[in-house]
Amino acid sequence: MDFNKKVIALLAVALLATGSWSCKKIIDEAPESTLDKSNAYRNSTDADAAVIGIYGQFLSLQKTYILQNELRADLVSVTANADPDLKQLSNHSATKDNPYVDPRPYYKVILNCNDALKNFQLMREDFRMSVDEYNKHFSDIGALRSWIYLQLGIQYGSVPYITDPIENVEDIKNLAAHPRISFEDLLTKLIDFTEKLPYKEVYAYPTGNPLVITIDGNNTQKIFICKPFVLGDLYLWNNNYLKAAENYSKILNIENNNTNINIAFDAYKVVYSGGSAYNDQAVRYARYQDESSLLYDQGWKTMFSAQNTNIVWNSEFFWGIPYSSSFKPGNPMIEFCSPLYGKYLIKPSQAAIENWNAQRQYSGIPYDARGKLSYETTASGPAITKLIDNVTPVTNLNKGGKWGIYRAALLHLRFSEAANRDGKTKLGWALLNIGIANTFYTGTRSATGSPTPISFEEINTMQTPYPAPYYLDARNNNDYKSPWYRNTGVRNRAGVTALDISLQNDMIGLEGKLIDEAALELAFEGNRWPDLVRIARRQNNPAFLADRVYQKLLKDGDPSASAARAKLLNPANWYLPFEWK
Amino acid sequence: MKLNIFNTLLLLSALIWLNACKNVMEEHTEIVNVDNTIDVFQKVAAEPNLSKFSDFLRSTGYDKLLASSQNYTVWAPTNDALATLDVAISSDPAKLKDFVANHIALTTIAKPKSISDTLRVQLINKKFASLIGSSFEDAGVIGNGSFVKNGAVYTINKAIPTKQNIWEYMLSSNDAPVQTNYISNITTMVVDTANAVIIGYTSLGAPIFAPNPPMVSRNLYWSLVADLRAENQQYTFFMLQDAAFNSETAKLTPYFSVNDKLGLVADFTVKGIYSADKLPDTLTSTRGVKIPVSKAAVVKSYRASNGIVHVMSALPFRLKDKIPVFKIEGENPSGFRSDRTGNTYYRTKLDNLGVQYKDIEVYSHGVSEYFIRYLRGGIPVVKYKVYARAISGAAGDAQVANFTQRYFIYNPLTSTPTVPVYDLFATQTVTPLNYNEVLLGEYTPKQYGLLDLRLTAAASAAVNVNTLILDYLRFEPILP
Repeated sequence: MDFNKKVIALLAVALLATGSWSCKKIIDEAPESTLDKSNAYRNSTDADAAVIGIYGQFLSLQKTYILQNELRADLVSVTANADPDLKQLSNHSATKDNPYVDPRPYYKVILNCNDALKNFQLMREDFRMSVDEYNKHFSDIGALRSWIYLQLGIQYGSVPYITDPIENVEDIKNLAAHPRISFEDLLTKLIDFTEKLPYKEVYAYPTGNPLVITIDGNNTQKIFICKPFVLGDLYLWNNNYLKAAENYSKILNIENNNTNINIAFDAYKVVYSGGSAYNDQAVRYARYQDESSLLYDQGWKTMFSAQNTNIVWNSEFFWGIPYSSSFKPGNPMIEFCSPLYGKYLIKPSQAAIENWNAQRQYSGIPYDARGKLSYETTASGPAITKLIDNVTPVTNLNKGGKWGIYRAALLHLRFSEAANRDGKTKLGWALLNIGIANTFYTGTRSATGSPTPISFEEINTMQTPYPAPYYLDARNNNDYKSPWYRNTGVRNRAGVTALDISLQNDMIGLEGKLIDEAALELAFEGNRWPDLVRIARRQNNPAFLADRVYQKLLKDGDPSASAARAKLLNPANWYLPFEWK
Repeated sequence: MKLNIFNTLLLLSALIWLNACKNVMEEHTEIVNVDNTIDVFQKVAAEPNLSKFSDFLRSTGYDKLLASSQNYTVWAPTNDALATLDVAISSDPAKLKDFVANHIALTTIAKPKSISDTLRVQLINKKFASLIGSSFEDAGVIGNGSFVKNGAVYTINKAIPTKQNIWEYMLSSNDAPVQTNYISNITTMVVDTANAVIIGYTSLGAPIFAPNPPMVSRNLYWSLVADLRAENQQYTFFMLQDAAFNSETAKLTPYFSVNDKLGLVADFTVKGIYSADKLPDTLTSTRGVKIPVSKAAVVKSYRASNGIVHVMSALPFRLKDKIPVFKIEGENPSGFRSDRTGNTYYRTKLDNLGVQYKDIEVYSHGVSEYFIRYLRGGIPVVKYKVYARAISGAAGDAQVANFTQRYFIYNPLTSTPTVPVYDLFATQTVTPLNYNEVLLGEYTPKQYGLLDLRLTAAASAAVNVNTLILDYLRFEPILP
C-alpha cells in the first residue's frame, strides 16, 4: 500500500467517523410533532389526560359488555336481522372465532391501565405528582382495571391476570403464554389489590379537582368508577356478605349529611315520588288506574333519558358515561336496538315481556309499566328503548346517549342480596318491596293504613333493628325526619304490588325474587348474565341459569333451546372460549 | 388435480345456486320469444286465422292504438269463434268497439305458468278479466302467445262479449222487480263537489261551498252495503224473486218499520265469488250477518264482470241473525255532560277470573247529575232485556262504598226540537266487587233508529256518591 492510498483510507475512516457522530445527534433529537413516551407523564395534568384517555377507550367496551351480559342471558333475543355470530351468542353455540367472544378488547384497556398505573408510581417517586394526586389517580384506574377483570372472570372463567405494563411489541407476543388463573383465584387477587387501593371513596375525584368539570353539557364527576361498588361486587361474588354490605352501605349513606336536604333524603335511596326532580324516579300516571295516562317524559323513564347534569339522573346514577352527539363514537347501542336509526339486531325476549306482564300494579293495571318504559312496540317488532333513551331523541344526526352502569336500584338489589345472605332477610324484603319504614313499623296506623305513631316507642320501630352496615334509620313524624324516611322499595317505586311477607323468612326464596326483580327493573342494562351466574354458582344450582335461558329460547322458537339447556347444566359451559388469536 | 375437483365443485354449486335463485315473480312475468320487428296490430293482421278480428280492429280504430308506442296485449278470437258472434254486436259500432276493447289490455302480459296460476287483468274498456292457467275468461288460449315489439298477441277459441257488472245487470234484468225497484230508488242527494264553487275552508280543512250548490243523486246501497259498480271488486249478490222478497220483508216489518226493505237487502251482498255449484249452506254478508242459502232455491245465475248474481226463489233469514244481541262498551262513550278529563279513568283491570276487561270510571268529578252519553244507530224495535256490568272496589279503585247510577234514554216521541226528553230507564246500585251482569230491566225502543242513552250520576256533588262506572251494557232481544 503506498502512501497516497494510506492517506485516502485514513481520510475515509475519519469522514465516516465524523458522519456517524453527527448522525447520532439527529437520532437523539426529540421529535416535535409526536409525543414520546418519556414526555407523556410529566405532571398531574398529564395524569389527568391519561385517565380521560383510558375512560374514552373504556367506552368501547359497552357493546361487548351489553351483548355478552344480555344476549347470553334470558332478557334479550336476536331479531331476524341478526348475523349468525349474534345468534350463536344468544343460543350458546358461540365458537372461539366469533367476534363477540374475543377477549382482546378488554385486554386492550387493561394494558393501558397497567401502563398508567406504572407511570403514576414513577411520577410519585420522582415527585412529579403529589401523594394525594397519586392516591386518587392510581385508585381510580386500579379500580377500573378490577372491574374489567371481574367482567373477564364472569365471561371466561379462567383468564391471565396481567398487571405489568407492556412496553414493546415482543411482550405482546408473550401474552398468549401468560398463565391463566381460575375465577376463584382471580377474585382473591382482585379483592386483595382493590382493598389495598389508597383512596376508596364513592366519588373518584372530589368537587374542585380539575377532573370534575362540566363540559359540552355533561358533568364529569360520575364518569369515573365508584370504587366501593366494585369492592362490594367482588366480595359478593366471593360470598363475603358482610364485607359486601359494608361497601354497598358506604354508597347508600354517602349523601346523608348533604346540606341540600333533597339530596340527603333522595340520592341513591329509592324513594317515593314527592313532586320534585330529586325524587322523580317513580313510575307515574297522570290519572291513577288509567293506563293511557302513563307518563313517559316524567318519572321512571327520565332516569335514562335525562342528561347527567340533570337532578333526576343524579339522584339515581353514580356511574355512567355520556356519549356526545357531536363526537365519535356515539352510542353504539343505537345500531343494535333501533329499527329506525340502526340495524335492529337485538330485541327484548318474549320471556322478558312476559315477566313484566305477570306483574300487577296497585292501581289494578295488570302489568308492570317498566316494560312499556324499557321497550316500545314498533312495526318491526318490540324494540329496546332503555339503552338509547336520550333527552333529545335519537336521529341519524344525533347518536348521543349514555352508558349507565351503576344506579340506586341496582345498589339496593345487591345490598339486599348481601343482607339476605347475612341473615337480614327482612331488610332485603323491605328494600325490594315497600321500604324500611313501612316494613319495620309496628305501631298505630290510620284507616288507610299509613303509619300514625303515637309514641316514641312506635316511632322507634321505623328503623332496622340491626347494627351497621345494616342499620338504616327511617324514623319520621311531622317534626322529625331521618335520612331513610322516604325510602319506598324498588317495587313500590314502580307501583307494582309487594311480594308475600312469608319471604321475609325465606332466604333462598327471596334471593330468587331479588334476581327476578332485577329482570324487571334493570333489564337490558348489562347485569343479567352475572346475576344468573352468581346465584347459580352460589346455590350450586346450574338449573337456576339453564332454565331461564331455556325458557327464552323456547318462547322465541329457537330449536336449540333444549341443547342450550343441557349444555348450561354443566357450569364449565357457562364460560366463553378464551382465545388470543 | 385436487384444485380441479374443487373448482368443478365450486362451479357446480354456483350453478345450483343460480338455479335456486330464480324467483316465482320472475317466472310470472318472464317474456320469451320476442319479435322486435313488428307491432301488435301487424302481428294480428299477419295471421290469416285472425283476419276477422283484425278487420274489427281496423273498423273500430284500435289498429292505430295497437301500433303506438305503449305496450298492449291482445287476446284475438279466431275467425271460427267470431262466426257465431251476435249480430247485435257486430252491427252496432259502439257495441263493437266495446267488444273489441274487451280483448285488449294496456300492458304486456305473460301467460300464467301453471293451471292454477291466476292473474286478474284490467282491459281497456275498464273491465277486469281473469286469466287462470291457459284460459282467458271462458275462452281457451290456443298455443303460446307471440311477443312483438310493443306487446303480446294470444289466439283464443271463443269470443268474449263484454259482461255487465252486478249493478248494471240488476238494473237491466227483470228477475226481481220489487227488489230492483227498491234498491235503485234508495237515493240521497249530495253536493256535487266536482262542480260546486268552493268559497273557503273550515278550520278543520273541510270546504265551504257557495250557497245552493249543485246536488247529485247517490244511491245509498253503494255506501251502506257495497258499491256494486266497482269493477275491481268481486261480489256475490242475491236477487230475491218478488213473492219471497215480500214475505221476507213482512217478517222484518214489525222490527224495522219503514226500514224493513233496507234491513233485508243490506244482507244480500257477500264478498268474493261463489258460483252456484259451490254455494255453501251459509254465507256471511258484508256486514257480518249469516245468510242461509239453499242451492235448490237458485233460479238462475249470471256471471257479471265484477262477480256473480244468483236469482233466488227463497232466502229465509233467521230473525236472530237480523236482530242480534248488541253491547255498548262503557269505555267507548260518545260524549260527556262537561269536561272532566282529569277525573275520567279508562281502566284496564283483571276480573275475579283473571280475564282482562276495560271500563270507564268518572270519580270525584264534583258535578251533580254528571252524565256519560252513548249513541248507537239502527236499533230495531223489539223488547230487549238489558244487562249492565259495573265493577267497583277492585284493585286501585277508591270507590269502595255502594253508590247508585241511573240510565236515561232519549224519547223521540215526547221530545221537541228545543226540549229533549230523556226517560229514566233504570237505577242501578253498584256494590263493590260484583263481577256479574245485573239485569236492569226490559226496554223497547219507541221507534226504529237511534238509541241515545245517558249514564247519569246521583244528584249530588259528593265524592264516592256521584261516581259513574260502566264496563258494558248488553241488549238481548226477546224474539218469538
